[in-house]
Amino acid sequence: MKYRMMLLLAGMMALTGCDGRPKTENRRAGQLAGVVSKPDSKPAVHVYIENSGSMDGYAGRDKTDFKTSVYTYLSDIKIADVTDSLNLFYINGEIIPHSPDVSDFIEKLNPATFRLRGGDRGATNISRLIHTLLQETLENKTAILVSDFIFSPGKGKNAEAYLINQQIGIKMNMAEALKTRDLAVIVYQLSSEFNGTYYNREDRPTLIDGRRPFYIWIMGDAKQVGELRKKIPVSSFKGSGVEHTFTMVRGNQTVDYAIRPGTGKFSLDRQSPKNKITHAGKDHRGKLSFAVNVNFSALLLDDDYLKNPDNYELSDKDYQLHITDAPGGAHGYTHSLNFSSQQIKPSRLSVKLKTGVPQWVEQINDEEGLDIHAEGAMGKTYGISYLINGIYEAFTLKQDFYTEIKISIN
Amino acid sequence: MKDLFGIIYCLFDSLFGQNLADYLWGYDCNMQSFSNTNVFNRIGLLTLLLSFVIVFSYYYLINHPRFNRWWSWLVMLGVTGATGLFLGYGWTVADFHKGLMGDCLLYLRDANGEITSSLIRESDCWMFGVVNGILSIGFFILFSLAINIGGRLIPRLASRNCKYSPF
Repeated sequence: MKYRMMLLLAGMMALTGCDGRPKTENRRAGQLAGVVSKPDSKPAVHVYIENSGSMDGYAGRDKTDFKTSVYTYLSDIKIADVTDSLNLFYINGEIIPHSPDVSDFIEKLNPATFRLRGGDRGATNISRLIHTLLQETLENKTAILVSDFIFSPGKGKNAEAYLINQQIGIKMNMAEALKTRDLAVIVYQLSSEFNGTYYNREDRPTLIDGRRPFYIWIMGDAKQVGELRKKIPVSSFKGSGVEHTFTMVRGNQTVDYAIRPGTGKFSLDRQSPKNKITHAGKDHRGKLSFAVNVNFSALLLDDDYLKNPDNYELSDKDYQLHITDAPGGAHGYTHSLNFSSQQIKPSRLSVKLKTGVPQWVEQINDEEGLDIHAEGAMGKTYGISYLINGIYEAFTLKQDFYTEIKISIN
Repeated sequence: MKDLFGIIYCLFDSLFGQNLADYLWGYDCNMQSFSNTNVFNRIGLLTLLLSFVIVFSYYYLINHPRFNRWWSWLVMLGVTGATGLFLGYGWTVADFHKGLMGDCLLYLRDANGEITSSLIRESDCWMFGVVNGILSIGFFILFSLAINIGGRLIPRLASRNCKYSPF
């Protein structure tokens, strides 16, 4: 009788789990069977592949850039020593776990497995997806989401209102998370062969065979995301390679910078040599010039963004700015801001690195989402700018600049 | 006051260059601050002392009627200038070759760490020597004036044979 009672209790525990609630097939990711997690300071990396119906086309053929990109990226994560715990999931309306075997995961990247894994494959509520990921990345976890990020308002819906509501939802979710966490988001845009059914904004299917954009979204603690980006740079992506990047980190960050000696006719102030110059004079070109070494690595921004002078706001318009790589081996500095001016006057020059939505977002955004055969529509994503702008607005609620550099000139 | 020598030397920094001046002010490339020893003070004090020794030797140790002409004084002035020149050059060029000057002051480098131009050359050390020579001459003249004027105000302190040389 005693043994029967014990067996009965063990059976109940197996059915209900430790918290007494019934187990369901698709539980929260961290509690799932097959999830390998070690008590380590390295973050767990959770990779989610969206398996809604609109994704089938990327996995339709044996070899596509989609499969190559995802496989090499996941393999690089596995060998890059950024995590001891790489966990794989399918995601749509629900989170569906997979064994942590990357090669098996990739081998099964096909429409049949997508369908087999199930979940709510009909439509993707991206705002809810972001909310789910924010919940999933709470405890030392970095989330990677692979998706086409096509919004699905559905037939008979006011598409514009739907997109705006989605944008507001994304913004609110992100803003709420940013109150307590130092988050970073990186969105890589790639493209791949697509052979399958495309669903327009009214969920009307069209068979297409062409190249379509898809996205790899990385979200988590800023330092951990930075480490991941450093270990697996954009240049290491295979397949089509990363075509565009969008990065957001919190604003008004402090970066290390110092005036570079020997870059003009001036003296370094002996009390504040890193940010103050004295006895400024014109060089042989008749200009005041000086350079400032800066370490932008914490901002996770790509080189093109950092080297574009349009992304900087100078308090004194007399100065021209030209950005180059920092000299090698100098205190980890990444860039040199080279200033020149025809005027010499005592001033306190403020240089702000502005936040901004890159131009490619508007270029790749499909505002209509109705006819995939319309000119240029094949290479665009319906509503992607609403997603990006939702994130952007959340991050820029308080500050609209990443960092500020101040230089005194006497 | 601790910056006095540096301020005086830097009246001529266009001759020997800003980067050598930064090194002599004590700029440390690793710390990115002026945390090293102020070399201006060391060289300046030694130059001041040398000028004083030569002036003192001329008026009180050599102190011979054969050397009380203006040209004798001028020869001593030349000796002082040359001593100052070689002191300034020798000190800085030794530091230059010993690698005491920070890389950030010595070279402009590109992103690959390759040197694109040298910011301090041996010629800058020569020019600093020239400046130091000029400074030592200045000190020599000042000490000469002081001894001449002092000797007239307090005759027992005056040089016996050279008290009117050269003024």
